[in-house]
Amino acid sequence: MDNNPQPAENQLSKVLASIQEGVTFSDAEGHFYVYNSAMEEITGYSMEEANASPDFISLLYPDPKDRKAALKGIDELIKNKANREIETAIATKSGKMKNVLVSSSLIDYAGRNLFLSVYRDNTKYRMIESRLMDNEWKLRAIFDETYQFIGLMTTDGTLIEANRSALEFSGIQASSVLGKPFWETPWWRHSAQLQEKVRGAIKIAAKGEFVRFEATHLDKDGELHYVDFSLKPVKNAAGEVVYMIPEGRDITERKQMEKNLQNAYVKLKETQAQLIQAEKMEAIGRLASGVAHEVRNPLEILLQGVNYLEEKIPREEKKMFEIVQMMKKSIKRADNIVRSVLEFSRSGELSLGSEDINSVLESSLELVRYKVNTSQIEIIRELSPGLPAILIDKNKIEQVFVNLLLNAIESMPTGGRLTLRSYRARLKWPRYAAGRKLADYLGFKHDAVVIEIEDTGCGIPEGNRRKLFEPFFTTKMPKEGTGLGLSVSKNIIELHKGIIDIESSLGKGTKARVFLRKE
Amino acid sequence: MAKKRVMVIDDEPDFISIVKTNLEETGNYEVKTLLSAKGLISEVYSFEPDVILLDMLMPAVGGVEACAMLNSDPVGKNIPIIIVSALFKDQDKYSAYKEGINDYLVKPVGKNDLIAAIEKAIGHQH
Repeated sequence: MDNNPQPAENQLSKVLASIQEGVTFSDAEGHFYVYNSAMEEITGYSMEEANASPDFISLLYPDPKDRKAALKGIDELIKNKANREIETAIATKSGKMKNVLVSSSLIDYAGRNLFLSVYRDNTKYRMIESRLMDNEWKLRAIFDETYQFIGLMTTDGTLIEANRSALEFSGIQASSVLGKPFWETPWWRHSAQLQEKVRGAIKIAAKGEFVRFEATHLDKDGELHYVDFSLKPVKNAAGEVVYMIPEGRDITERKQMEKNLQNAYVKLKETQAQLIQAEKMEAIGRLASGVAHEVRNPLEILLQGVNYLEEKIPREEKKMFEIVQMMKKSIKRADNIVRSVLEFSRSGELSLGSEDINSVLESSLELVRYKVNTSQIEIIRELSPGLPAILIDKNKIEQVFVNLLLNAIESMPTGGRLTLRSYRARLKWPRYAAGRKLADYLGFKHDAVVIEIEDTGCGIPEGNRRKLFEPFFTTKMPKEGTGLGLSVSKNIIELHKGIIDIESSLGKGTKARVFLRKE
Repeated sequence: MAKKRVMVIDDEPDFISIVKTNLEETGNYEVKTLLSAKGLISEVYSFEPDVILLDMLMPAVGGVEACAMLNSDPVGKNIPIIIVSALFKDQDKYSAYKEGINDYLVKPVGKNDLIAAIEKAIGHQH
C-alpha cells in the first residue's frame, strides 16, 4: 500500500462536498490530499492549482505578517500536537481578501505528520457583526444623546442602563447607579415621598401597566427641576414583562412658562378688578355727592325751622324744648351720615408720607385716650422696634386706627385688655389670593408691616362677621354709630393697597389686623 | 340802628322763606328774597342790599355766574357775598372764591352760624 493518504472514497467525497467549511488534508510540504469544493469556493483555487503552485502559502498569505503567523502556527502544531484555531486574512485567487477562521489538527498518518484543516469564511460573520455593532452604536447614540432621561431596569427595579443625559443631568457616574434599586439612586434621594412613589410605580409597571407622574429631580448644582416621569413595561413574545423603561422629561421651562402665564392672568384679573373697583368707587362717589347735595338742602330748611321754633318755646315748656333739641341733634346726625358717606366714597386722594407706623398707632391712641381713661382697660404694647418707615396717608391711617380702637374699647364696657401689636411679615400664598379686590395688590411673598389691635371684649357673632365691612352695618344704637367706620377703614386700607381683616371669637375677643406694604 | 338789608337768592322757596323769617325776627335785618338770579342787578339797584346770600346750583343763572354779574357792576362789586350751598367740594368753593366772595357756608348752616357769617361780612365791608 502506498504510504500517501488515499483519495477519499466516494462516500466521504460526498460528505466533504456538502460541508459549508473548506476542508483540507495536507502534508508538511504543502501538498494537498483532500481539498473539498467549499475550499475551492473560499480560495478560488482548485486542488490541482494549489498543488501545482510552488509556494501556495505565499499565494494565500501575501502579507508577510500573516504568512509568518501561518508558518509559525504550523511549527507550533508540530511541536505541541495540539489543535489550533486562528483567525486570519487570506487572499483569494481573484485577489480579494477574506477573513477566515482556520482550525488545524495534526494527524499522525503512518509516521508522517499530516494536517487536517477546516477553513470557515468569516467575512460574512464579520460583516453581520460589524453591522450589528454599527446598529448598536446608532442606538446607543440615540439613547445617550436624547434630551430625555432614559434607563432600563429589571422587573425588580434594578437599574441596568442609564443614558448620558440622565447621568450628566445629576452629575452621576454610571457605575454608582447601575445594579442599584432605582429608587435608591440620587435622582430620587431628595424626597422620601418620591422614593416611595417610584417604588410603587415599579410594582405597577412590573405587572404590565404604564405609569406616569410628575416628579422632581435635583440637577448637579442642586437646583430643583420638574420632570414628567414615566415607567413603561417591556414585554417579551410571551407577553411577560422582562424590562421596564424609566423615562423623564425636564418640564421645568414649561412649568415656568405656565407659571408666568398664570401670573400674567392673575395680574390681568387684578387690573380688571382694580378698574372695576375704581369705576365702582367713582360711581358711588357721584351718587354720594348727588345725594349729599339733595339731602343737605332740606336739612338746612329743617335746621332753620328748628332754630325758629326753639326761640318760640317759652322757657317753662321743658318737654317742647327737649323735643326741639332732639330734632336739632337728629339733623346733626343726618349731616354726619352724609359726611361719612362722602368720606367713604371719596376716591383715593391720599397724601402720602413716609411714616413710622408705631408712632401713628400711638398718636391714634392719644385721640381715644379719654375713652380709655374712663374705662377699666389695660393697654398692652407689643410693638416691634425698628420697623421700616412706610408710605401712608397719616391722617387716613390714623382714622382707621381710631375706628378700630373705638370698636375695641366699646366691646369691653366692663374693662379688659387692649393689645397693640406691630411686626413685619411676609405674606403666604394663597391666603390672600389675588384677583378679587383692590386689596390683592398686597400678595404672595410681599413684605408687609402688620398692625394688630386685639381686645378681650364681647366678640362678634359669626352671623355678623361677614357683614362687618358692609356700609351701614352696625350693631350699635343709632346715636352711637353710622355703620360706616369699618367700611371707610377698609376703603382707606385698600387705597393704600393693603389688607384689613378681623378675627373674632364670641365672648373671647376680637383681633383686627392691618397689612400695609413695606415699600 | 338802621336794619341791615340782606338779599337771599335760592331756588328753594321754603329755604328763602324760613331764612327771611329767622333773620327778620331778630329785628336787625330787612330781607329781600329771590328765587332766581335772573335780573339780579336791577333788584340790587332797587333794594341796595348790605350783603347777598347766594346759592350755587340754580336754574338759568348759577351762583358763580351771579357773582360775575355782580363783580362787573360798579355798585354790585362792592356788596359782600356769602355763598350758602349744599355743594361742598373744594373745586366748587374754589370757583366761588375766585369770584371774590366773602364766605362759603355749606348747608346745613342753621340760624346762628348764618347770622355770624352775615355780621362778619358786613363788618369787613364797613
